[in-house]
Amino acid sequence: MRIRANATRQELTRLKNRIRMAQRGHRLLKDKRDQLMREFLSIVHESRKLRQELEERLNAAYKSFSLARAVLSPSILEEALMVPGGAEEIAVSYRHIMNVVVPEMEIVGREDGEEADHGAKDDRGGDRSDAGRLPNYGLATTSSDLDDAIAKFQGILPLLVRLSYIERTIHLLADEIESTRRRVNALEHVLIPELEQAVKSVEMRLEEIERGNISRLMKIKEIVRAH
Amino acid sequence: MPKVAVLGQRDAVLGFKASGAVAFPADNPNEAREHLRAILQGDYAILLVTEEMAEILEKDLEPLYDMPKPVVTILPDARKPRGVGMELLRKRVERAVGADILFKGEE
Repeated sequence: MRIRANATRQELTRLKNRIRMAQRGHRLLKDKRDQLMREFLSIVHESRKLRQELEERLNAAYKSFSLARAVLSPSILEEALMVPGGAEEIAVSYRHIMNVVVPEMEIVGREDGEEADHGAKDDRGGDRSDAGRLPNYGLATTSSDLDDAIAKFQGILPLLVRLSYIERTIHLLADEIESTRRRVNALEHVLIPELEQAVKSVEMRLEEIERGNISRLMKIKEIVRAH
Repeated sequence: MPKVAVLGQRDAVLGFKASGAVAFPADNPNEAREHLRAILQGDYAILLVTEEMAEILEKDLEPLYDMPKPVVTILPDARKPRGVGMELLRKRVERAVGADILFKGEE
Protein backbone atom coordinates (compact mmCIF):
# COMPACT_ATOMS: atom_id res chain seq x y z
CA MET A 1 0.00 0.00 0.00
CA ARG A 2 1.38 3.38 -0.91
CA ILE A 3 1.24 6.28 1.44
CA ARG A 4 -0.79 9.12 -0.03
CA ALA A 5 0.41 12.58 0.85
CA ASN A 6 -0.42 16.07 -0.34
CA ALA A 7 2.42 17.83 -2.03
CA THR A 8 2.97 20.56 0.53
CA ARG A 9 5.96 21.57 2.61
CA GLN A 10 4.03 20.86 5.78
CA GLU A 11 3.33 17.34 4.62
CA LEU A 12 6.97 16.87 3.74
CA THR A 13 8.14 17.85 7.21
CA ARG A 14 5.58 15.52 8.72
CA LEU A 15 6.72 12.62 6.58
CA LYS A 16 10.34 13.26 7.44
CA ASN A 17 9.46 13.26 11.13
CA ARG A 18 7.68 9.97 10.70
CA ILE A 19 10.75 8.48 9.07
CA ARG A 20 12.92 9.62 11.95
CA MET A 21 10.46 8.13 14.40
CA ALA A 22 10.27 4.85 12.51
CA GLN A 23 14.03 4.59 12.36
CA ARG A 24 14.33 5.21 16.06
CA GLY A 25 11.73 2.55 16.78
CA HIS A 26 13.45 0.20 14.43
CA ARG A 27 16.77 0.65 16.18
CA LEU A 28 15.23 0.11 19.59
CA LEU A 29 13.31 -2.97 18.53
CA LYS A 30 16.40 -4.39 16.91
CA ASP A 31 18.30 -3.99 20.16
CA LYS A 32 15.45 -5.63 22.01
CA ARG A 33 15.41 -8.51 19.59
CA ASP A 34 19.16 -9.03 19.88
CA GLN A 35 19.05 -8.98 23.65
CA LEU A 36 16.09 -11.36 23.76
CA MET A 37 17.97 -13.66 21.44
CA ARG A 38 21.01 -13.67 23.70
CA GLU A 39 18.89 -14.55 26.72
CA PHE A 40 16.99 -17.10 24.70
CA LEU A 41 20.05 -18.93 23.47
CA SER A 42 21.60 -19.27 26.89
CA ILE A 43 18.34 -20.60 28.30
CA VAL A 44 17.87 -23.00 25.44
CA HIS A 45 21.32 -24.44 25.98
CA GLU A 46 20.65 -24.79 29.66
CA SER A 47 17.38 -26.57 29.09
CA ARG A 48 19.00 -28.90 26.64
CA LYS A 49 21.67 -29.89 29.14
CA LEU A 50 19.02 -30.29 31.80
CA ARG A 51 16.90 -32.51 29.60
CA GLN A 52 19.82 -34.76 28.78
CA GLU A 53 20.74 -35.10 32.43
CA LEU A 54 17.13 -35.75 33.27
CA GLU A 55 16.81 -38.47 30.66
CA GLU A 56 19.82 -40.29 32.06
CA ARG A 57 18.73 -40.05 35.66
CA LEU A 58 15.17 -40.94 34.84
CA ASN A 59 16.32 -44.04 33.04
CA ALA A 60 18.35 -45.06 36.07
CA ALA A 61 15.37 -44.44 38.32
CA TYR A 62 13.06 -46.49 36.13
CA LYS A 63 15.63 -49.28 36.13
CA SER A 64 15.81 -49.36 39.91
CA PHE A 65 12.08 -49.22 40.03
CA SER A 66 11.57 -52.19 37.74
CA LEU A 67 14.16 -54.05 39.77
CA ALA A 68 12.11 -53.38 42.85
CA ARG A 69 9.01 -54.48 41.00
CA ALA A 70 10.61 -57.73 39.96
CA VAL A 71 11.55 -58.58 43.52
CA LEU A 72 8.41 -57.47 45.29
CA SER A 73 4.97 -58.85 44.71
CA PRO A 74 2.65 -56.35 43.00
CA SER A 75 0.31 -56.19 45.95
CA ILE A 76 3.08 -55.28 48.41
CA LEU A 77 4.45 -52.68 46.04
CA GLU A 78 1.03 -51.20 45.50
CA GLU A 79 0.45 -51.16 49.22
CA ALA A 80 3.77 -49.49 49.93
CA LEU A 81 3.15 -46.75 47.40
CA MET A 82 -0.50 -46.20 48.16
CA VAL A 83 0.30 -44.61 51.47
CA PRO A 84 -0.20 -40.92 50.92
CA GLY A 85 3.21 -39.42 51.42
CA GLY A 86 2.13 -35.83 51.09
CA ALA A 87 2.81 -33.95 47.91
CA GLU A 88 5.63 -31.48 47.43
CA GLU A 89 4.43 -27.93 47.23
CA ILE A 90 5.73 -25.47 44.72
CA ALA A 91 6.26 -21.76 45.18
CA VAL A 92 5.81 -19.79 41.98
CA SER A 93 7.38 -16.39 41.54
CA TYR A 94 7.77 -14.20 38.50
CA ARG A 95 10.75 -12.52 36.88
CA HIS A 96 11.01 -10.07 34.01
CA ILE A 97 13.27 -10.65 31.05
CA MET A 98 13.05 -7.68 28.68
CA ASN A 99 9.50 -7.02 29.77
CA VAL A 100 8.45 -10.63 29.38
CA VAL A 101 7.04 -12.07 32.57
CA VAL A 102 8.46 -15.54 33.13
CA PRO A 103 7.75 -17.89 36.02
CA GLU A 104 10.21 -19.34 38.46
CA MET A 105 9.37 -22.25 40.68
CA GLU A 106 10.81 -23.82 43.74
CA ILE A 107 9.95 -26.75 45.91
CA VAL A 108 9.07 -25.41 49.33
CA GLY A 109 8.15 -28.55 51.23
CA ARG A 110 5.42 -31.06 51.76
CA GLU A 111 1.90 -30.20 52.64
CA ASP A 112 1.67 -32.40 55.71
CA GLY A 113 3.99 -30.35 57.86
CA GLU A 114 7.08 -32.44 57.31
CA GLU A 115 9.04 -29.24 57.46
CA ALA A 116 9.21 -29.66 61.25
CA ASP A 117 10.72 -33.11 60.85
CA HIS A 118 13.71 -31.86 58.94
CA GLY A 119 15.26 -30.30 61.99
CA ALA A 120 14.88 -33.49 63.95
CA LYS A 121 16.49 -35.44 61.17
CA ASP A 122 19.42 -33.12 60.90
CA ASP A 123 20.98 -33.89 64.25
CA ARG A 124 21.30 -37.49 63.17
CA GLY A 125 22.11 -37.51 59.49
CA GLY A 126 23.21 -33.99 58.70
CA ASP A 127 21.86 -32.35 55.61
CA ARG A 128 20.07 -35.20 53.95
CA SER A 129 16.73 -33.58 53.53
CA ASP A 130 16.79 -33.94 49.75
CA ALA A 131 17.34 -37.61 49.09
CA GLY A 132 17.24 -38.95 52.62
CA ARG A 133 13.57 -38.55 53.45
CA LEU A 134 12.44 -41.45 55.55
CA PRO A 135 10.28 -43.82 53.55
CA ASN A 136 6.68 -43.88 54.64
CA TYR A 137 6.16 -47.57 54.04
CA GLY A 138 7.07 -50.62 56.03
CA LEU A 139 10.69 -51.67 55.80
CA ALA A 140 9.94 -55.29 56.62
CA THR A 141 8.03 -56.15 53.48
CA THR A 142 9.89 -54.09 50.94
CA SER A 143 13.36 -54.47 49.48
CA SER A 144 16.18 -51.96 49.40
CA ASP A 145 15.72 -51.68 45.65
CA LEU A 146 12.51 -49.80 46.28
CA ASP A 147 14.25 -47.38 48.66
CA ASP A 148 16.87 -46.90 46.01
CA ALA A 149 14.35 -46.24 43.27
CA ILE A 150 12.39 -43.79 45.35
CA ALA A 151 15.49 -41.94 46.43
CA LYS A 152 16.36 -41.58 42.76
CA PHE A 153 12.92 -40.29 41.90
CA GLN A 154 13.17 -37.81 44.74
CA GLY A 155 16.45 -36.52 43.41
CA ILE A 156 14.85 -36.03 40.03
CA LEU A 157 11.90 -33.94 41.12
CA PRO A 158 13.81 -30.66 41.69
CA LEU A 159 15.37 -31.14 38.28
CA LEU A 160 11.94 -31.57 36.76
CA VAL A 161 10.62 -28.46 38.44
CA ARG A 162 13.54 -26.49 37.07
CA LEU A 163 13.14 -27.92 33.60
CA SER A 164 9.44 -27.13 33.65
CA TYR A 165 9.81 -23.43 34.30
CA ILE A 166 12.78 -23.13 32.00
CA GLU A 167 10.81 -24.67 29.17
CA ARG A 168 7.93 -22.35 29.86
CA THR A 169 10.35 -19.43 29.79
CA ILE A 170 11.62 -20.63 26.42
CA HIS A 171 8.10 -20.76 25.11
CA LEU A 172 7.29 -17.24 26.32
CA LEU A 173 10.54 -15.80 25.03
CA ALA A 174 10.04 -17.53 21.69
CA ASP A 175 6.67 -15.83 21.28
CA GLU A 176 8.14 -12.47 22.19
CA ILE A 177 11.08 -12.87 19.85
CA GLU A 178 8.76 -13.83 17.05
CA SER A 179 6.57 -10.76 17.44
CA THR A 180 9.55 -8.44 17.91
CA ARG A 181 11.15 -9.88 14.83
CA ARG A 182 8.00 -9.31 12.83
CA ARG A 183 7.84 -5.72 13.98
CA VAL A 184 11.48 -5.10 13.13
CA ASN A 185 10.94 -6.57 9.69
CA ALA A 186 7.73 -4.64 9.11
CA LEU A 187 9.49 -1.38 9.94
CA GLU A 188 12.58 -2.21 7.98
CA HIS A 189 11.04 -3.63 4.84
CA VAL A 190 7.63 -2.00 4.66
CA LEU A 191 7.08 1.17 6.60
CA ILE A 192 10.43 2.88 6.19
CA PRO A 193 10.77 2.23 2.43
CA GLU A 194 7.19 3.40 1.91
CA LEU A 195 7.78 6.58 3.83
CA GLU A 196 10.95 7.22 1.89
CA GLN A 197 9.08 6.67 -1.34
CA ALA A 198 6.42 9.13 -0.22
CA VAL A 199 9.03 11.74 0.70
CA LYS A 200 10.63 11.34 -2.69
CA SER A 201 7.38 11.77 -4.56
CA VAL A 202 6.38 14.80 -2.50
CA GLU A 203 9.80 16.37 -3.08
CA MET A 204 9.47 15.78 -6.78
CA ARG A 205 6.00 17.30 -6.88
CA LEU A 206 7.24 20.33 -4.95
CA GLU A 207 10.14 20.79 -7.35
CA GLU A 208 7.74 20.48 -10.23
CA ILE A 209 5.53 23.18 -8.77
CA GLU A 210 8.60 25.32 -8.14
CA ARG A 211 9.73 24.97 -11.72
CA GLY A 212 6.23 25.78 -12.93
CA ASN A 213 6.28 28.86 -10.77
CA ILE A 214 9.64 30.05 -12.09
CA SER A 215 8.69 29.59 -15.71
CA ARG A 216 5.45 31.45 -15.08
CA LEU A 217 7.34 34.32 -13.48
CA MET A 218 9.77 34.46 -16.40
CA LYS A 219 6.87 34.51 -18.81
CA ILE A 220 5.19 37.35 -16.91
CA LYS A 221 8.44 39.30 -16.77
CA GLU A 222 8.79 38.97 -20.53
CA ILE A 223 5.26 40.26 -21.06
CA VAL A 224 5.87 43.17 -18.69
CA ARG A 225 9.19 44.05 -20.40
CA ALA A 226 7.57 44.02 -23.88
CA HIS A 227 5.26 46.83 -22.94
CA MET B 1 0.12 -24.01 47.53
CA PRO B 2 0.32 -25.48 44.05
CA LYS B 3 1.62 -29.00 43.50
CA VAL B 4 3.07 -31.23 40.83
CA ALA B 5 0.81 -33.61 38.90
CA VAL B 6 1.99 -36.65 36.95
CA LEU B 7 -0.19 -38.12 34.24
CA GLY B 8 0.70 -41.37 32.55
CA GLN B 9 0.51 -45.13 32.57
CA ARG B 10 0.32 -46.76 35.94
CA ASP B 11 3.84 -48.15 36.05
CA ALA B 12 5.37 -44.88 34.89
CA VAL B 13 3.76 -42.62 37.48
CA LEU B 14 4.05 -44.78 40.59
CA GLY B 15 7.66 -43.86 41.16
CA PHE B 16 6.85 -40.18 41.04
CA LYS B 17 4.08 -40.60 43.52
CA ALA B 18 6.61 -41.62 46.13
CA SER B 19 8.84 -38.70 45.27
CA GLY B 20 6.23 -36.09 46.11
CA ALA B 21 4.14 -35.59 43.00
CA VAL B 22 0.44 -36.28 42.77
CA ALA B 23 0.00 -39.28 40.52
CA PHE B 24 -2.83 -39.70 38.04
CA PRO B 25 -2.48 -43.21 36.62
CA ALA B 26 -4.47 -43.70 33.43
CA ASP B 27 -4.84 -46.91 31.47
CA ASN B 28 -6.87 -45.57 28.56
CA PRO B 29 -7.34 -42.23 26.79
CA ASN B 30 -10.75 -41.56 28.31
CA GLU B 31 -9.48 -42.03 31.81
CA ALA B 32 -6.58 -39.75 30.97
CA ARG B 33 -8.91 -37.00 29.72
CA GLU B 34 -10.94 -37.24 32.86
CA HIS B 35 -7.79 -36.91 34.94
CA LEU B 36 -6.73 -33.96 32.84
CA ARG B 37 -9.97 -32.16 33.63
CA ALA B 38 -9.46 -32.82 37.33
CA ILE B 39 -5.90 -31.52 37.10
CA LEU B 40 -7.02 -28.34 35.42
CA GLN B 41 -9.52 -27.68 38.16
CA GLY B 42 -7.05 -28.39 40.93
CA ASP B 43 -4.14 -26.26 42.05
CA TYR B 44 -1.20 -27.62 40.11
CA ALA B 45 1.79 -25.59 38.98
CA ILE B 46 3.39 -28.32 36.93
CA LEU B 47 1.90 -31.12 34.91
CA LEU B 48 4.29 -33.89 33.96
CA VAL B 49 3.09 -36.05 31.10
CA THR B 50 4.77 -39.19 29.85
CA GLU B 51 5.72 -39.26 26.20
CA GLU B 52 3.28 -41.98 25.35
CA MET B 53 0.45 -40.12 27.03
CA ALA B 54 1.45 -36.85 25.41
CA GLU B 55 1.09 -38.45 22.00
CA ILE B 56 -2.36 -39.77 22.82
CA LEU B 57 -3.52 -36.48 24.32
CA GLU B 58 -1.79 -34.25 21.79
CA LYS B 59 -4.96 -32.33 20.92
CA ASP B 60 -6.03 -31.97 24.54
CA LEU B 61 -2.66 -30.63 25.66
CA GLU B 62 -2.33 -28.12 22.83
CA PRO B 63 -4.28 -25.27 24.52
CA LEU B 64 -2.35 -25.75 27.75
CA TYR B 65 0.94 -24.54 26.35
CA ASP B 66 -0.29 -20.96 26.38
CA MET B 67 -1.84 -21.07 29.82
CA PRO B 68 -0.02 -19.65 32.84
CA LYS B 69 -0.82 -22.73 34.89
CA PRO B 70 -0.10 -25.59 34.84
CA VAL B 71 3.21 -25.73 33.03
CA VAL B 72 3.20 -28.86 30.90
CA THR B 73 6.45 -30.78 30.70
CA ILE B 74 6.88 -33.97 28.77
CA LEU B 75 8.81 -36.73 30.46
CA PRO B 76 11.07 -39.00 28.51
CA ASP B 77 9.60 -42.48 28.40
CA ALA B 78 10.79 -45.33 30.57
CA ARG B 79 11.32 -47.84 27.84
CA LYS B 80 12.03 -46.15 24.56
CA PRO B 81 12.56 -42.39 24.60
CA ARG B 82 11.18 -40.89 21.44
CA GLY B 83 12.25 -37.33 22.09
CA VAL B 84 8.77 -35.81 22.03
CA GLY B 85 9.77 -33.15 24.54
CA MET B 86 12.93 -32.29 22.63
CA GLU B 87 10.97 -32.12 19.40
CA LEU B 88 8.56 -29.62 20.95
CA LEU B 89 11.48 -27.53 22.14
CA ARG B 90 13.07 -27.65 18.72
CA LYS B 91 9.87 -26.44 17.07
CA ARG B 92 9.63 -23.47 19.39
CA VAL B 93 13.21 -22.49 18.80
CA GLU B 94 12.73 -22.79 15.09
CA ARG B 95 9.67 -20.57 15.17
CA ALA B 96 11.39 -17.92 17.22
CA VAL B 97 14.70 -17.81 15.45
CA GLY B 98 13.58 -18.81 12.00
CA ALA B 99 16.19 -21.55 11.84
CA ASP B 100 16.98 -24.74 13.63
CA ILE B 101 19.89 -23.66 15.75
CA LEU B 102 19.48 -26.26 18.44
CA PHE B 103 20.57 -29.38 16.67
CA LYS B 104 22.49 -28.10 13.75
CA GLY B 105 25.84 -29.13 15.16
CA GLU B 106 24.82 -32.74 15.59
CA GLU B 107 23.77 -34.25 12.33
